[in-house]
Amino acid sequence: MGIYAATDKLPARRAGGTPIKVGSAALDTSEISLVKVKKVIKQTLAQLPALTTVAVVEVATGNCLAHVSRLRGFDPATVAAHHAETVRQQQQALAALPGRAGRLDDILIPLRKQLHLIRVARNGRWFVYLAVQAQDTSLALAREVLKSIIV
Amino acid sequence: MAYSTNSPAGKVVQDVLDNLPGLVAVAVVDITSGMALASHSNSPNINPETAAAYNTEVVKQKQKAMSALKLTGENIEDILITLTNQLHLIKLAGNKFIYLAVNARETNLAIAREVLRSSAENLN
Repeated sequence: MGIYAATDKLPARRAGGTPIKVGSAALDTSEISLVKVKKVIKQTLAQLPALTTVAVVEVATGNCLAHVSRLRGFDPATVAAHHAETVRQQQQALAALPGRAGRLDDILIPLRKQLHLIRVARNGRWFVYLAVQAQDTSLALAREVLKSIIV
Repeated sequence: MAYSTNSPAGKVVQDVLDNLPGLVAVAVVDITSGMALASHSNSPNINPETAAAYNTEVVKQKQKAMSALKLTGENIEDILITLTNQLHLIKLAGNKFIYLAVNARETNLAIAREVLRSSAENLN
């Protein structure tokens, strides 16, 4: 599989796989390692080859650190920003609950024909956004895959 | 203990546990989502939720295989999987299935299957 960083200035050719697009500008300002981000995306792709979109996003800034998508005209910046907002709002809602609700693990969004999942890293600084077709996998399987990758 | 005996699924898990106290793991699983409605494990190695997710794929693939073979009017009753030391059984009931893992040395396949058959009647 080809992996192209945004700074490589390589043409986005499809050489036996979908290239991982890395948001290098966003990565420079984040504390998350590029190696880890790429590993997460590669492992998710390996276990769910039919996935529609997978992206690693920073919670605080909403920056998309890396993504792979099979959708034409997929805009990682917008999708990442909106989902980061979802995560932040949910974290705030949990913080506002009386008692100790615990850490946010994942958010599951079942649509009619698609499943969208958000799995927040243990440190709460970044999350993985995954979109799959409902006919390809089940909600539980996609969740287990993300759980096994992001520990 | 990941179930409540107030629900039909929880009752089934309790029922299977009462009949096979030495079982490794048991779960009642929704086929659409692959999520366990109720589950119990006696082994630290088997997470019944993980088993539920992956075994749902087994059921779905078999259903796909049957539709590809045009086996209309046929339904999967159960799926029996023999491992070196364990038996894994999947008993379908409507849109749900019961997943059961037992130790092959302790439990007879026929008994395990019979327990699932009688428990599945209470599921829907």
